[in-house]
Amino acid sequence: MTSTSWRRNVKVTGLYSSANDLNSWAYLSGVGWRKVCDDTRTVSETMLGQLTFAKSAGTPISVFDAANEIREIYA
Amino acid sequence: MTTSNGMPTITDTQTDELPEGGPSEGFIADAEAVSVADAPPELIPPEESAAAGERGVTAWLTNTRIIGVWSNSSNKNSFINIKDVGWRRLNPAGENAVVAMTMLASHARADDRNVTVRVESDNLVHELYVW
Repeated sequence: MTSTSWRRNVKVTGLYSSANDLNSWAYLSGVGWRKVCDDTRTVSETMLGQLTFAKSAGTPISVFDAANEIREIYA
Repeated sequence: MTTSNGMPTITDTQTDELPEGGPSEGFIADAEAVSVADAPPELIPPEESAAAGERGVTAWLTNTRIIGVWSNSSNKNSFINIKDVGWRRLNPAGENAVVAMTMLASHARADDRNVTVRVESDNLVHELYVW
């Protein structure tokens, strides 16, 4: 289902990247896989860095989920 | 050659090369021509499904660990040491892809997390999950 909403207090329980540029994904607990915003390389890498920190620390985060793409993060 | 803790040493000539003690030179294929579809991940975290990780495909290394990471001053020249497998290069087809996979591999290494890795016959890492 495509939706746009804030996902609050979710944890990152999985991360995925492949050999394709701008193709990183995060698994949000209770939500599923969401693509890390791929607007630019810098955006993708900074957001992936924040998501990696959140997963490593087990910190609940809030993300803006726009059509299955993570476009904003509070961690 | 490796240091006493098993990590690869950095050579004087910082070229696009393998970590010392790694596979032979013929190991690196023409990675620029290698790519995978820009597709979403297929697996889900093990805690989300007991069936996760059971792929039965030899190229998939499931529920393993990364015991070393290596890079040098060459672009897109990042390797990971997969437990019981050895050093494998992250597919250098894309700059962002190498950065992303290195970030994930470093997290897995630092926190000793389970990973699922797809290594193809070219001995390059094409996909990386960290759980």
